[in-house]
Amino acid sequence: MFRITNAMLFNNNLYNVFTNNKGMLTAQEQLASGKRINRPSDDAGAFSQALGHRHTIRQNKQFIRNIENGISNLQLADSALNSIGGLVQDAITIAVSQSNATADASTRQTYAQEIDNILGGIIQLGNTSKRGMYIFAGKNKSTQPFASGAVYYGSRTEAMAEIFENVQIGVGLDGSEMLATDLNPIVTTSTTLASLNRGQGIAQGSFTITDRSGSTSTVNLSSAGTIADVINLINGSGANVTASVNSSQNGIMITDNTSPPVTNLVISEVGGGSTAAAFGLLGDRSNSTFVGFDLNPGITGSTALSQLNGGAGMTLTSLNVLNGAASGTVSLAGATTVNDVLTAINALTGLNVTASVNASGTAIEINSNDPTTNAYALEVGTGTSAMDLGISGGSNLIRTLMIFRDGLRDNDSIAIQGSIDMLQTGLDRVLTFRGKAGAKTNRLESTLETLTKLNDDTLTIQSTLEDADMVKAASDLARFQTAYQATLQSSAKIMQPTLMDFLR
Amino acid sequence: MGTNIYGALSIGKSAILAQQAALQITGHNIANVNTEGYTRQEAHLETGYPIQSTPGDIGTGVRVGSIERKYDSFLGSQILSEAGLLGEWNMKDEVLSTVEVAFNEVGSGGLSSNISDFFGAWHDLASDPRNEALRQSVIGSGQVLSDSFNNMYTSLTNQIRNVDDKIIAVVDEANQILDEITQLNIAIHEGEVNRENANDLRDTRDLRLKELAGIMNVHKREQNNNQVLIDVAGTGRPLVVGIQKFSLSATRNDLDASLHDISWVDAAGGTTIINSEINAGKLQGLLEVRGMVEDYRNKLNRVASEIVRGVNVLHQNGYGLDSSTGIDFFDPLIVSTQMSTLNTGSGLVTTAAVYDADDISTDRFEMVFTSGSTFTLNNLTTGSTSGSYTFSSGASLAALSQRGINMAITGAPAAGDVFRVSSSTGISGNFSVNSEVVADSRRIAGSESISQGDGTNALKIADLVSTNLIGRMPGGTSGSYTFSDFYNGLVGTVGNDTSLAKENVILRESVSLQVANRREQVSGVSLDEEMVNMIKFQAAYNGAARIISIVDEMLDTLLRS
Repeated sequence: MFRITNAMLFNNNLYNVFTNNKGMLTAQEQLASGKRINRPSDDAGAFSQALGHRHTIRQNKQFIRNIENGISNLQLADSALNSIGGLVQDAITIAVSQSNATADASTRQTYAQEIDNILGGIIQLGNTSKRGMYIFAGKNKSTQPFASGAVYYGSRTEAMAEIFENVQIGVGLDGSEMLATDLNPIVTTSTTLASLNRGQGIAQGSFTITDRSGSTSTVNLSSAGTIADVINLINGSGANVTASVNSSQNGIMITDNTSPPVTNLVISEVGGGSTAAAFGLLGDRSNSTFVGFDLNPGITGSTALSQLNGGAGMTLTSLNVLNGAASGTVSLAGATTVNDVLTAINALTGLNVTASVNASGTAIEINSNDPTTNAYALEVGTGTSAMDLGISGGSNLIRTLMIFRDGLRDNDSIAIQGSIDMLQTGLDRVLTFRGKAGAKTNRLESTLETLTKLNDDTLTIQSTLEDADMVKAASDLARFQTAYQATLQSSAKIMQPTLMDFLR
Repeated sequence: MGTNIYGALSIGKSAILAQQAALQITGHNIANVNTEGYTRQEAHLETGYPIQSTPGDIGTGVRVGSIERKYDSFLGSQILSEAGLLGEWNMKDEVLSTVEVAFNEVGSGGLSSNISDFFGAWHDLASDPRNEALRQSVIGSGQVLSDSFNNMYTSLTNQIRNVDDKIIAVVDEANQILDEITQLNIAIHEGEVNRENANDLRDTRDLRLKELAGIMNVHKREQNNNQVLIDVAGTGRPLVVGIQKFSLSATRNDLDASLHDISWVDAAGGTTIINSEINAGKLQGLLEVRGMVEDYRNKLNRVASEIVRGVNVLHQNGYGLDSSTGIDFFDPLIVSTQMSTLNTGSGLVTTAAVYDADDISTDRFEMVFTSGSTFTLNNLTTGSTSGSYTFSSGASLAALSQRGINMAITGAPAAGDVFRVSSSTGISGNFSVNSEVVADSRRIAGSESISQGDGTNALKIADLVSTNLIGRMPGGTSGSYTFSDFYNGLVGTVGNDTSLAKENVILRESVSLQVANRREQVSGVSLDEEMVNMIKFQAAYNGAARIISIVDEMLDTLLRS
């Protein structure tokens, strides 16, 4: 016989009451919080997914902020480039009018002043900044990219911003592509110390290296002439380290060979010097390599053409060099070093020009030996050698304007005539540059749109994952309530009577 | 001549006594209707031994033959195994429900969002490296991140400690129960040696046994002398043999003195660790859940250690506004070692330090000596063996220096000796922004060179958030997971484990209820049934009294005549 005991009734009843209570609690919690998932265990898969989505949303918001910042940079650049274009246009108008026979020395003198103003204006626009950050200085945003003279002081590497996962775009532009060429050679063992820091040279005192075994050696660079000397002096100092040119080929690095290491690799100055700091080697490292920073070498005669442009090199064709009434074409196709270029130009007969590396070692310039004439170079055919070497035209807008200005001052109509061409290529360059910035703006704007859309979609997905289905929760609550009441009512009926109630 | 008037009187008396006894048992049943573990008893009435006569045997009334304990021995083992499962899952549910609170982030806070915010701050800094507000925000978000890591570490560590305390308490509880069962064995044996029923004592013993089964896997065997033998189910390790009791003890773990193992104490007082023999009950639940929480903490340490390593490597190579370089952003990783107390050799760790901060492995390693001069290196994080190596005393071990750790052991380790080493143990608890950086925000190295406006290094650091650094091998740059992916996966694991425990508790409770109901069917007290019995026995008692009263009248008649 199937026996039903009192304890069974009580236990079953309690179990059912608790089950219903729990169901009501869950439904009530969902209704109150509006969330289906209130803790990881409610739906572990969905919770973890929701965390991922939340991360994506937060990251996208960051990208959107980066993009907005980038767009504001590029808009600023666009308006600066627009003004620069206008100024160059003005300069071309002046060049055309002053190349006419009606112009004379006095009008040209007046306009020379005007061009000087335009030059100042362009340099000022090249130094456009946002919150103290220059937008045409590449990644070295706090460095003013242009001063007087046709020298670019910024970095050839653009300042990047991440606009999408693992997608970076340059939002701090390389002004050397527009106003002043920077030939930016790499550092090699034969690079002279005198050529470093754009030809300023570098501190050549002493510093100490404490290798990771704890032994300290002193390196004295006073006798060093080249990077190879520096490397040899460090390697021969007695410290258990190896010096070499760093992987970016713009400075040197020191690798410690101690095994096992007992201390940090420490490099310190000797007697208040600044030599280690100048090489980017001052401080300590808890790992075995110490990488020095960019030493900004300038070009020298011995610099190979293949070392220019950060090691990308350049291919040269021919140049048309003009000076006063004289002109000559020189082929540079066979040149392999800067000296080859200089020698080839200087060998042109009857031109009376001197080609040399400029004072900062950033470009080559050609100067007339005759104070009444102005030397410059024009491209031959579709070549770009004059621009690439930084002589004039194209991206050398500052240099071009200086030649034009000097031509006006000297009443040198040949130079004024030539300036029209060079300014025209300069204007083209500005327009191209502006076009590239515009394309970037477009790309940023479309990415912004994608990200905004993506975030909306992700929010929707996240809401589907996390948010409670209110209708379901409400009906669940009602269902459990009904069941709860039924359980209570039925147990009241079942448990109340026992046989004792009927025995009197 | 077989009958006499006193015979009838004696039958009446036997009936009165028997029905009274039956009523008493009914009363006992009713009285114990709510007693846990009580087994319904039933009086078995049988006829008295008849008097042989002609024409036939004449009955001598009734007597209580036995008092039966209504018990289904088949259900016994099922009750024990269900108690074990329920105990195990209850413990897991109890602990994990608390643990998951630490991982909960329904609102905007939480470690996952702190990670995103921290790297976001570096993105902002990249755009404007000289901006003091942005520099402070890098420090601030770094501190929020460290607070989160610290809090989670503390909360998980406390939870591990709580579980460990509970293991000690439950071992005590088990010892007490073993003691009681041994005492009951003695009492039942003494009680039943004269063929008396020690029903209530047996109930108590069954109840204690069920409690013990809720603690660990036990197997029970009843002996001829009515005593039970109890051993560890599966291995047969004795716990109670008749009147001899063995006890358990919580002994300190050989590698981590803050944790306890479960040991069996033999007759001589020696201990044997029996963690692996336990596979059910609260102890199993506690041991397993302690391992799970330790695993969560290890995974948290993996995230923290790779963030520290990744950020510091880049930060050291960068430059601050004050041209400072070589500064860590977070307090650096620290190498810690553990040595088993069971080691028999004389090997001692004399050096444990970072060998290569760039390339240090944040995995946990275990060295197991296979002889005095060789050892096997196990990677506890990946669960794989990293190979066998030769050992030379006092020298930096190449097996570890290859993994960025400088470790030397002096003395002579013996085969079987165990050492552990890791650069990530406890890192979540020690996670902190370097005080040098906090003191002077110019030291934040956002630049690649001394150009203050250069934000390249900040961008590189920001980019770590989408780099697969976790699971990285020394010498390699890329692993399998980003910080967020790995951490979100960890939260998923915690959630899954917790929900599994919750579901199992519900399941086990429902099965336990069914088993309890089946036991109730046989052994439970039904008040209605007892009422019926009461009426039945009362009526019989009344009848018997009637017989006595009739015999009394008969005697009266006889004496008066």
